[in-house]
Amino acid sequence: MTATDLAEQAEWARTDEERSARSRHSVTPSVWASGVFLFLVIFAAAFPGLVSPGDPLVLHPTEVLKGPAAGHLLGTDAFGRSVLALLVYGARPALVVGVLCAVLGAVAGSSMGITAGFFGKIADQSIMRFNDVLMCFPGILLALLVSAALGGASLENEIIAVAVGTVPMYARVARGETMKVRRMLYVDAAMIAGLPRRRIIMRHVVPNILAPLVVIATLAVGVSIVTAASLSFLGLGPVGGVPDWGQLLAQGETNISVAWWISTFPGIAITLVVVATNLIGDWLRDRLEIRS
Amino acid sequence: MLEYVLRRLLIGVPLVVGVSIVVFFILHLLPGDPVAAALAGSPATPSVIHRLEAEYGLNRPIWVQYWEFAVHALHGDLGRSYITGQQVTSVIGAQLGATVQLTVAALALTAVIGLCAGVLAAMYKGGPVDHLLRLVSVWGSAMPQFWTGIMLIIVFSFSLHWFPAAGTGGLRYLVLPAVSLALVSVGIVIKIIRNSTLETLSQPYIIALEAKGLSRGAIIVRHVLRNALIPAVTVLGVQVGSLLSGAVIVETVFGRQGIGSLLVQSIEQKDYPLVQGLILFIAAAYVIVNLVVDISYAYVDPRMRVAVDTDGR
Repeated sequence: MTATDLAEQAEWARTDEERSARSRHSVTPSVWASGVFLFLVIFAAAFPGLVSPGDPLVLHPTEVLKGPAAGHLLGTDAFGRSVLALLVYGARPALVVGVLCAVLGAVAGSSMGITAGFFGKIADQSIMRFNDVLMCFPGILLALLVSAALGGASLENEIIAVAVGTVPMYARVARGETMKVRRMLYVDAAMIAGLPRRRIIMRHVVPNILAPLVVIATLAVGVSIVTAASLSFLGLGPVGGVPDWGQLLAQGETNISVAWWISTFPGIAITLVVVATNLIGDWLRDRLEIRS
Repeated sequence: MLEYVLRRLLIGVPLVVGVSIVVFFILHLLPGDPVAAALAGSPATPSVIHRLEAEYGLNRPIWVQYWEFAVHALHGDLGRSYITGQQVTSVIGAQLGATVQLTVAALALTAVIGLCAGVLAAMYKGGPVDHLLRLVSVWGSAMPQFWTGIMLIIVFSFSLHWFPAAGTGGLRYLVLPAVSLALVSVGIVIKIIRNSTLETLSQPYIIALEAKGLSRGAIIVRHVLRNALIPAVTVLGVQVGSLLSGAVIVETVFGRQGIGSLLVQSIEQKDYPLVQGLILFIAAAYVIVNLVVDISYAYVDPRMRVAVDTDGR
């Protein structure tokens, strides 16, 4: 499930009315809703103390595994912690991982693509063959491989594993765009003027290929959050401290027969964040008039 | 045609080799001590460590190790599990059946529902069916797979008691996992088939057929379907990869046997030969499936056949 797939999916979700509105670069209701929602999530991630009803690590041993009720709006988990509080405090790791992985993957993947597109020939062939091999690993397999190799069980390892999994998304696009820019006259002019190639790349290539890469990165945030949650769910994420959404879901699975709320709400949270980032990414693509 | 097939095969081989290199080197170059894992806590004197290293060939240069691995792999030997000592290939073989069952079921679901829904969505474009399907498509693929699995268990196992929550076995144990696995893929297939059908419907020859007097039904069956479903083969082929990787999650959630849950287990136990063998197997299977899809595409799409035969490009 690549980011471009997700983009096209969201694209189809446009009604005809929204499509004509879109063609005037206006912001549709669903995009507004996504923006507001994401702002709230970011706010909760930045200031969890203000949003959460309490400290997620506080145990209420007398209220273990209670369902949604007045005291705890989303119920409690097996240790008596409030699910709502856990959810709010879990927003920060989720967003941090998502954004960090998107950025890391973007830098790594784009560097590969730019190098391949700019220098051509051997660099191009070898880098793109390597990228083809990376694309042979479906879904989370690459992330699993890296996670297994790193030994799992930490936030850094999870981030690296997920980021590596997103690299192929960027390489191809970066290469294509770089090759387009490379042909431009001003690049030749810069080279004749004696500008070092690195300067040319940073000054001329990068700014011009930024737009489609930003769109991919936005969509990659959603993909990264789901992948990271999957790794956490499988026990390959950070250990100890406040559980992130994936771990919450894992705990919910063990208690599935008695406490449906522990799994339900984190999953809703993840889904909403992913849909929101997809819609924003889609809007960005329209706004920047990118034809992929 | 034969030339095309051979050329596709030739591309496939370096890909599989490349995959094996990536898997091997990532596992062997990144930190994570297999000897410690193999010892698993039992006292380790330097001599024991040396012996284990020699046994696993870890004291030789990495390229040599890879070469040994590759040669053995070509003979069907993927090493032995650190934990059980069994041959990796036999462990994989034992668990493969359940996963194939699951993947085939999910693929069948995806194909049947996805293709029908995609065509219907296009035919009744703008109607309630179309809107409903687009919602399913967009939201279905945003929902994390492990979550949909859990939700299905909560609703259909614990609330309604229609299906068992976990375990491997007959048809009853297959339904929920297959649905959970298929959900993401269905969304993608619906979207692509819908677009393809819309494109086909807008072709001038369709209008010509209607003017000729051919009934709507006959147009659909004899002309539209055949052309709109051409991308179906490619899409489904790509989804096989998605399904295989999704099986890792789904098998874990539903407590099913299979190479997916085996992979998770072996990662947890740091059983590196098994991890290596499994990931190599899954990726190689994906490459082979894509190869088959590419080749069959030449048969399915008559335009490809002509292009391929006339100049082989």
